[in-house]
Amino acid sequence: MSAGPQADESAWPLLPQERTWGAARLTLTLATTAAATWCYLIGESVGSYLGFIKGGLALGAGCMIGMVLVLLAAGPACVRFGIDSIAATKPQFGSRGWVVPAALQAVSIIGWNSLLIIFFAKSAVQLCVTLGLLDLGLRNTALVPALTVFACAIIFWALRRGATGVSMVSNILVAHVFIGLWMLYLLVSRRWPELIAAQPPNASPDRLWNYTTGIELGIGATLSWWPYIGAMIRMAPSGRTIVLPVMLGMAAPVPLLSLIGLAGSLVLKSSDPTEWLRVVGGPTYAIVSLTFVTAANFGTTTAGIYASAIGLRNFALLQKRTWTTLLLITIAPVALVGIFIPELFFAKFGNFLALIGVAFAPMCGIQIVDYFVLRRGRIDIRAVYVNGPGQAYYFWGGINPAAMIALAAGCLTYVGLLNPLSYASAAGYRYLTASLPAAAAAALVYFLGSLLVIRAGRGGYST
Amino acid sequence: MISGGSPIRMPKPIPAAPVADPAPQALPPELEARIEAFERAAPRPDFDAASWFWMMLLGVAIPLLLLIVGWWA
Repeated sequence: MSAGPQADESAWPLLPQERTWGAARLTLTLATTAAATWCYLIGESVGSYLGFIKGGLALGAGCMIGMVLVLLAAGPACVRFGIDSIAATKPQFGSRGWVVPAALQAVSIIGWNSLLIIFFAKSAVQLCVTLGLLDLGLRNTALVPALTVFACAIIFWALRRGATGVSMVSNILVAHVFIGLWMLYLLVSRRWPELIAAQPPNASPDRLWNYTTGIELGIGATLSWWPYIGAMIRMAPSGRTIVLPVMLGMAAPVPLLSLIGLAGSLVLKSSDPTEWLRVVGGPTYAIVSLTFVTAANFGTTTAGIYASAIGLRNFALLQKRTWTTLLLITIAPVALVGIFIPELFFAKFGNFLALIGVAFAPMCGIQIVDYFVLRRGRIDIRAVYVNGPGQAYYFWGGINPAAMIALAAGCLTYVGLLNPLSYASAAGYRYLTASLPAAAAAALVYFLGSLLVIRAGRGGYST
Repeated sequence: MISGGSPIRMPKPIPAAPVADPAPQALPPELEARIEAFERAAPRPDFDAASWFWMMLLGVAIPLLLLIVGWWA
């Protein structure tokens, strides 16, 4: 069969000959996707509790652990059948229950994209002011909505070519990752003694708690790639092609670039490189860093919009729409937020995103135990796309109660161990983190629940 | 606005797949062909031995090493 021209714009399985992304292309795309403003925020959070070296190592370890969980959860089904993260949840959540992970994905990605695109617009305004193209003043605030719309229009234009558009944007913007590393070198080389001596401002007297929190922030950061990863790795032909790009291209840049925020917050009390590069190197460096921030968020948003559009394609109602319409549906909320409520969204939505992020660890636990333990790698690809009584993933009314209960149990475990907003924690948190027990609890509950499902002859399990 | 003369290809509408309907229905021909292609072919492996090696090295062994070094740093 010939490769369909719009295969990468659908949620249908991609045939091996359609998966043309090699390791280098995937690495570039994933690295560009991973590097964004959130790296500074993650670094700043770690810098509240840990010093530079300890914080960097805890964050690096956490990011790699989180990434391998995501890879084990979504990777096998996505790479075997060329499907996205949402389609890969149908064997666990059911042929209707998958709307729960789909909703989590849509809210998470659209929410993050809105935040990043507002960051993008603000950085662009600041860049124009630094370059002398604009005066300082309140009227510049009005430019943020206009630039948001401008950015959305460019993303829309780029993504009309589907996954090729994501790759094209990544090829152009990947340079910002190296600019970020240069900024890190600059800060470390010029402020090393201060950096080593700096004390984290909010460190707990409990040394283990601080260290565990650094690890947890890393795990949480990379678990939030779960919604994105399927849409990217399905473009690669095999499992062998994806492992190094995911672990080195997606997981490694996050802690490395987070060191910028970590170092900045420790030494200069600001995680924002556009502020401290002006201090360290003058206006020229500030312009370079602003360009970096602007480019970084643009690349991530492009990949996010693509992943979100593919995820929405799983809804029957949206399968009937053209790719152009689907892109407009996906971009519209981002543009509307940027136009009408950028400041309000900036102030309030971060907390909501933190709560949504709690669900990704349980999701990974459920998928891992389902694929590797219960199904032993056997996925019925037809049942992923066919709904109705008697189909393997129909369960009861299209919903697998074991997955729903396990997801709830995992989320409750997380929140019971660590409040994601206040960071108030329970006793076991300092030894276990919150994400890992949440994933383990969800996996255990799912396993036990699935024994009943299997006994009832549902779910398409081999007995 | 993208004009008709743009080099960007206009995507075609994608037909619906009846994933949310209660009763099984015939799949769109292209989706059916894709699924049949997977069903006919030998099962595709997910991760080979080299992939598992890199995953365990980068996702387990190195993080553990970093954690030990970091704790004593």
